[in-house]
Amino acid sequence: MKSGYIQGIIFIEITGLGAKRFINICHHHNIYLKKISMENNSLKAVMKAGDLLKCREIIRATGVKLKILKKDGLPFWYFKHRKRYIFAIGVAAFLGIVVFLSNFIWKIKVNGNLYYSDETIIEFLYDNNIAVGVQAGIINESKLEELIRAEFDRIIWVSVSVNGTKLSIDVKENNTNPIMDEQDVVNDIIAACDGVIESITVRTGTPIVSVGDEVKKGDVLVMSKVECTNESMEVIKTVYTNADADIMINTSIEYEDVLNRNYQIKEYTGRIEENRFTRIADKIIENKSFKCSFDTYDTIVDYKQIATDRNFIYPIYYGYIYYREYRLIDQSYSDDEIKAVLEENLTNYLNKLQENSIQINNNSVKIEISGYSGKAYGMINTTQPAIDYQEPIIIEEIEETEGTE
Amino acid sequence: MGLQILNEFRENYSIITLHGNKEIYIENFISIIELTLNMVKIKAKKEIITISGDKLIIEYLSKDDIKISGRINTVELLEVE
Repeated sequence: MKSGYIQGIIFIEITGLGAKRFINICHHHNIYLKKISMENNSLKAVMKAGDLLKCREIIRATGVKLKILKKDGLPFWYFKHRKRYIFAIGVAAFLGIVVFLSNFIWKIKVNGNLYYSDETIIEFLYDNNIAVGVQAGIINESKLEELIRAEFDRIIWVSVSVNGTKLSIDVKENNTNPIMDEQDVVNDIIAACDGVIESITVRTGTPIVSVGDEVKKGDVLVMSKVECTNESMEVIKTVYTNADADIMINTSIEYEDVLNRNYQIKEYTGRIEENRFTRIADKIIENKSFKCSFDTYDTIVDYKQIATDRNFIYPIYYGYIYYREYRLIDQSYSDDEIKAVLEENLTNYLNKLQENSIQINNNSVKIEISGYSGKAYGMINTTQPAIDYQEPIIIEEIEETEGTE
Repeated sequence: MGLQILNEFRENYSIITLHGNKEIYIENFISIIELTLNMVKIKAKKEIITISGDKLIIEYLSKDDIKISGRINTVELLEVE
């Protein structure tokens, strides 16, 4: 029916003895009627507006009377509103603005990134004069791809494409540790915290600590320097390699958590006020006469961005700002409740540590409850891979002398 | 061979499809003989088809096809040469 609406349709009533003949002759002349029904000796049907002129001869030949009951469709709508110039200008202006805005980038979407955040990549684009609002035509996709690859080491593949008003950046990152992969990089392994070595498995490098040794934060655990000796244990060659080892350190973490006995909760009254707004780029247009009558309230913004297609997004937003009233109610924890909350916080903290591959050996956390607050404090004994990497200090002359001796 | 028979059938006979008692679809129709709210009589290639029912409406007709909707009670075929 959509094509019918565009071409225009008319609802007709045919009266007279030759009504059936009229239909058959129309059919013979490829004029196809729809919704034909016989009511009270009159025949009602729907036909295309363009076919009406073709029917003139048939009407005369069959001697029927044709009455137009209703006209519908775009041509009739257009004819009815033909004198509404301002409206036509408005529609034309709207289309013009839409076409004009289509030439700019209004959304930047980064896909496939895990290590680098969207903000980091978008900030880099901004430094290279590519941001929301720039003309789409000035973007050189291949050049931008090169720039991104050069700037971000972990990005091993990048595809930049401009679809409508959206700039899509699809990246693929190298998820393995880049330090381990790069052949030229030389690093010592150092302790990331104070503790006692629990276990050590060295793959490359020279270990300078052993199980049971006490280490301080920053102490070198595995040296990148590897000395090759002969049968007499004399150094014949010194090489530097990237130290690689699995080292577990037994360390203690200080824990402290304080909870006030008195606290406030929000009790929503159920009253909500709303204010419509429109945002064009960074400019927000809202009803100035509106003033929220609540003293304490949450603000919820619900908005939509105008888009003619998934890829044609415009910098025009519309929506509502909802103000949800609440009252603050004073509450206080009992001793049991304080203990329960502090214990739950501690359990959550320990779970979080375990999620980060930190093994919990034991903890000496105590809970003390006073008149105004409760406090949980103590030490948590853990075993964790607390290692870091640091570039070694290489003194070339000395090393060369050692190597030639 | 099967396709040839099918094509021959399509050319010489009308194909009538009934959708419950709500719709009837006829291919290879020629003209409308009679039309009221309770009865539609159609001339097809080799038969006259009489459809009786209530509130019968010709939904659409094209060069060879016609679709009638409403509450269909009976469909009668009268063979003609």
